[in-house]
Amino acid sequence: MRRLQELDLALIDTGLYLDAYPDNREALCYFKRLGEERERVLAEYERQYGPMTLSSAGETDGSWDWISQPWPWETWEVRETRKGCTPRGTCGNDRKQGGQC
Amino acid sequence: MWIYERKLEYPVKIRTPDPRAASIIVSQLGGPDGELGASMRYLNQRYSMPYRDVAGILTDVGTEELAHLEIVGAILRQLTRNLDAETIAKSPLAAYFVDHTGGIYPQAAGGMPFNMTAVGIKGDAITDLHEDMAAEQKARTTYDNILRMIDDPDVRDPIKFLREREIVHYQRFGDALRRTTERLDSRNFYACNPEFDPGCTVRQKD
Repeated sequence: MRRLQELDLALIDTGLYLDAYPDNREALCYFKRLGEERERVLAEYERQYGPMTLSSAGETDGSWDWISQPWPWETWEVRETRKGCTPRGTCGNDRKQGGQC
Repeated sequence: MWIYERKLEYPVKIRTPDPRAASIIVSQLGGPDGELGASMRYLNQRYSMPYRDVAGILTDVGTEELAHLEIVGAILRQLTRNLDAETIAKSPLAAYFVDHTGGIYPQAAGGMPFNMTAVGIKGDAITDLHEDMAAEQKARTTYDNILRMIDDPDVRDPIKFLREREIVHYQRFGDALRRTTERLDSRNFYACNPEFDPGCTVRQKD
């Protein structure tokens, strides 16, 4: 989570800079590198802790997993409780079927 | 549209509830220079902004203000959790508690509910960008005042982050104002409204 927050702050800040300086090569390359790393870090985070956005939510242990994790304003003691790796249930043409964690 | 990410832009981990701190910090939720007003200011100014890059800055800063609104909400929640009525009654949060209990309600520290009268949307690029730069400084001053009155490092840390972002946003709006004046008649930037008067923009960059 911490790494994701760092990457997102860097993306937000570089994005704001690029709004004003859209032709800066160095900033453009930096933004691209950050975006690629964010994709990797986000995938790993969601695999371990569950969905970050609605579009990546789905079924875990047979029920809707968007609401099974603490919300970000809940106290940090709760938020840092690590979720165990559990196989997802299967349903029809669910793209997430197949025991993936 | 917007997509919700279930994470804060900056972590909030407050170990000790403090109703007095909450009664002060609530101003940055719904006070005159708070984050709700900031997001409403930029996200509503952008529609009539004639320069696409400046409209981009308004969109991106306005979106970040929504993230800041959530950080302030998380701070308030963590400062007011697990409090008993007796503690609250003796604290400056008592007047807030009688109306809202543990709910998070956008209001100024003085009790005035969130009000758009503190937000300027004039429909003039020069006027609005000056409003925006002033707004960022007013928010920075408010965060400085909060820091003068609060000692807990758990609370100060996210407040310091929010204060830093006000300065970054001020600089970005400064850039936006410069890019706007570059498109206007250099003999007098302030002679007409680039969002309304035809021919006001004399030099279009792209």
